[in-house]
Amino acid sequence: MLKMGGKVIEVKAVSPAEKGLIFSLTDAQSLPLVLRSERGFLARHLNPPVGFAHYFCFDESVVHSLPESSSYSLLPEEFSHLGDGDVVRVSADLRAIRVLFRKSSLHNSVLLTERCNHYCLMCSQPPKPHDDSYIFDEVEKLITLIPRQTPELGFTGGEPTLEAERFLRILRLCKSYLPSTAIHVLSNGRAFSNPAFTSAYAAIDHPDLMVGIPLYSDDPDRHDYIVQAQGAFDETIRGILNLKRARQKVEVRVVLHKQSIPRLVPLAEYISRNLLFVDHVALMGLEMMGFARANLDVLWADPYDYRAELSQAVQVLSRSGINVSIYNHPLCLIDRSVEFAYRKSISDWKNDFPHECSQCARRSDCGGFFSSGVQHKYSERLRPFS
Amino acid sequence: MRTERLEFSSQAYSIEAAQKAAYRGLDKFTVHISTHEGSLVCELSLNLGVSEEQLPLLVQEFKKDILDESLREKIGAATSDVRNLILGIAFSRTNLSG
Amino acid sequence: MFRSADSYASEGNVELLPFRFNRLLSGAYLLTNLVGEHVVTSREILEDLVSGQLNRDLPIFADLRAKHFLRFDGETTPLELLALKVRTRSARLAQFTNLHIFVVSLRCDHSCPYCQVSRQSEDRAAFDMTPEIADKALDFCFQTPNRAVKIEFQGGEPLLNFDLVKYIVLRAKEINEHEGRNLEFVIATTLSLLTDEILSFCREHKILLSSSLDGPKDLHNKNRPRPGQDSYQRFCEGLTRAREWLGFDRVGALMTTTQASLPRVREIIDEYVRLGFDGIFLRPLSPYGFAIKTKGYQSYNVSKWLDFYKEGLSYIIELNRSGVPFVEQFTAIVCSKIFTNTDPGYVDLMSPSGIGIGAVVFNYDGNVFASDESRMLAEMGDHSFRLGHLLEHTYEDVMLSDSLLDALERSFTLSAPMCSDCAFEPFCGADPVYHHATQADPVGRKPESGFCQRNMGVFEHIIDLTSNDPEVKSLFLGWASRC
Repeated sequence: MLKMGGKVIEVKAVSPAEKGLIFSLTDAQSLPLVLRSERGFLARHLNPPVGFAHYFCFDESVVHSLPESSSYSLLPEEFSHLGDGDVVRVSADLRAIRVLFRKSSLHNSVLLTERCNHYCLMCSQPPKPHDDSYIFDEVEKLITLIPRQTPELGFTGGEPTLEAERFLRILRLCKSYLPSTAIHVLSNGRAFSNPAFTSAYAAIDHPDLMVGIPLYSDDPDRHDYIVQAQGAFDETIRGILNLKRARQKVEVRVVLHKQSIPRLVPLAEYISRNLLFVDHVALMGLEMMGFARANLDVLWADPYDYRAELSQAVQVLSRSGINVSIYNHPLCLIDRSVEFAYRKSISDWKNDFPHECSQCARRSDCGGFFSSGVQHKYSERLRPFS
Repeated sequence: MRTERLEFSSQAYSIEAAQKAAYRGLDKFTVHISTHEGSLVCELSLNLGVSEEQLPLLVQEFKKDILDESLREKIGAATSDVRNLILGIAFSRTNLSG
Repeated sequence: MFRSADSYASEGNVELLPFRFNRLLSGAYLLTNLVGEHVVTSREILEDLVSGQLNRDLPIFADLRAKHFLRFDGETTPLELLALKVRTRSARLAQFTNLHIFVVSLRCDHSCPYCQVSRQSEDRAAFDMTPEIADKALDFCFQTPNRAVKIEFQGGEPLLNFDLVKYIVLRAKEINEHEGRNLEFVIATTLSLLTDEILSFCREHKILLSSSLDGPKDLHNKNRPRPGQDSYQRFCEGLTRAREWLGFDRVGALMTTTQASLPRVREIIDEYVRLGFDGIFLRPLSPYGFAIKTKGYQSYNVSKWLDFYKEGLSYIIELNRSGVPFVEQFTAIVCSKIFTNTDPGYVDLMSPSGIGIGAVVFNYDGNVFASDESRMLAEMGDHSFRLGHLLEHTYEDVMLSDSLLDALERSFTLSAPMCSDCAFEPFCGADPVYHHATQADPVGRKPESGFCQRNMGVFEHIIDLTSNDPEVKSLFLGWASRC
């Protein structure tokens, strides 16, 4: 597991900002002077080049070798994974940093807000009600710092569409600054039940934009229970329909746990009859973070025990011509017959393996586990391949 | 030729239900339908070439069919408006497919 | 902090959405909604559903809600979804006629007893289509609004008038240069008269060949006599050659089921497997040319055919289980109607009927027919489904003719007695030509109809298999998706 945020040892900022400082990092020793004034330098050796806005150091001696009036952060060893092109934010109180973007990662995901109108039983990012619209300001800046060749970028929350205008503005900025970057938004889709909002979204005419929308059951009551919001199912379906009328790309996401497994196959049939036009269906393993840990007793289901339902659901969907993927599951707990849908999917920074897997011959094919899973709860039926 | 006479309450069953049930069985028998003092009377006659042994079973099936036709009437009454509504939506919109 | 599942239970009145039901032979009830989604349940549940007493905690309640058999008062999303599905199911109608059959000659080297049309003759003038007729037929062809146009050559034996086949293919492609349709050619042939020249032309123009294989040698030869009694041998040789020239999968085979076939379904399937085909179409017995007016004969045939079909299907399922992928096409088509919203476009199971709308036949003599069976009827003296003549009538005259429109309208299943109430209606079709031939009426009395009895037998069997065996259901879903 990679550390993406946390306390620093020491920060000195010459011109601190009210809301924190955002820097795009580089380790290019001979970067032209004109390009140094806004950037952060990864100082791994003594006497780093002059002129940078902020220096990120891992060693005291390097700090001492800096010019007199330099701004710097002294970081613990866990942040040594940082590299050229990464973007970090130094907190306003100068005590912590957060990695906002990792160039070498395939799965960069940007949080737009912690506010949400759902309260999912298994939420890995439990909602917070306070106004955090300053995050939009930061993200607007972040987009200008992300390398243009970035293949894909995700936006999550909370519920990103709660601030409708700010959300749309972010997407427009992505189209301008990152025209060849595929954008993947995670949303409960309810805002799209408003045709005007969907029109405005479609009008952005982004070249490669998809929204991933969770649907947890074909039974509206069960879905509403899982997301803890009355009327959610109905609005979500309307949102999906509106998006499709406007020719936008839609993915349906299902998190698999004790509340969603019993009607998983009926849900697959529901999707194949009513939402045949969706661009992708993602069947996802449970992440053991946030509310999922608190609700483990109503949520936990061993993937080994639900492999039949999972296989059947995959068959139903793929036979109807829908693209389907299995995410976040150990490979050994999937029926061979549905391996074609299996993806190595866990974000590198969250990925780990328990000790049972140390001798497994197919480790490199396996998506692994959430670090949170290894820590708190994982299947008792792991079967390493020989 | 054996004829089986069945009586049904006109309150509970409509002539239409009897007619439709009779229609379903016309491969094996014909039914003469009439009313008599508040009752619906159905006289079942086996078609030529159909053996008498089959009669009890055919009568049973006819009775089930008349019940089913009554049920169909109820469903039809309850859903004909919404059916027209759905068909109206189906064929009035443009650009529904994504 | 978290509310219970019970607190999210929807409240209020439950309203029924349109659905139909049939009592099955097993005593269970099949319910189908407006677009053919189904549940199998008991009479008790059905009655509770209709009387508004269905227990909302039962899983079947959630099933019925998700499949749009009921909704809560005020919900409009189910209506939108149903409307969308109705629209999808009907979409193919608007595309209109795709298949255009050109009967280029009645002459044939075979004299199959079940064929009503072919002639053993050298007289080209009497039995061949002329270029003039062919030109008119092509003009007609391109009047269809369908972006995809399939031209199928039939006969007799089309290869006996191969010059005209070539003419039509080349002329069609010429016209298509500014029409820009998706053009497809098929020749229905016995494969007994192939030459290198013919194969070369077919390869060049990507023509598919569709042939006849009725079963093992003795059965095939008995069904399909020709001078020398070597139809089977010639078929096998022709098959090998055609596959080499055109590509293994560019040559298909259809079987014709006769009385002699009925006890031998496994052998027939084995023959198809042996020759490398990836599927078979267990076709129904044709009512034409037999003692079609005798009802007793009909129903005997239906029940014997259903045995044939069920045994064949069971054997095919065994083959698949033992690792031999093999499809039964009729089942595949029916499953696509049961399990998907996509119309497979099978002419014999369409409502409104596939006559005219699905296919049109240009006879060698210029007469235009609503279907192949319509042409066969005419050869037996009944011209009820002759729609017009290429040299006398326009496209509009033909496609708007009374004989076509009348038959379409009267046989439309949603307004036919029994059909309109039938739970199988979304899977079934109208066949006015069959009913005209067997009952002298395009609608027919369905309780007496072999078409109806056969179809209901098949539907009930498939629903039974798929409801009880998830593996078979998955297998059939795979077949349906290929349609």
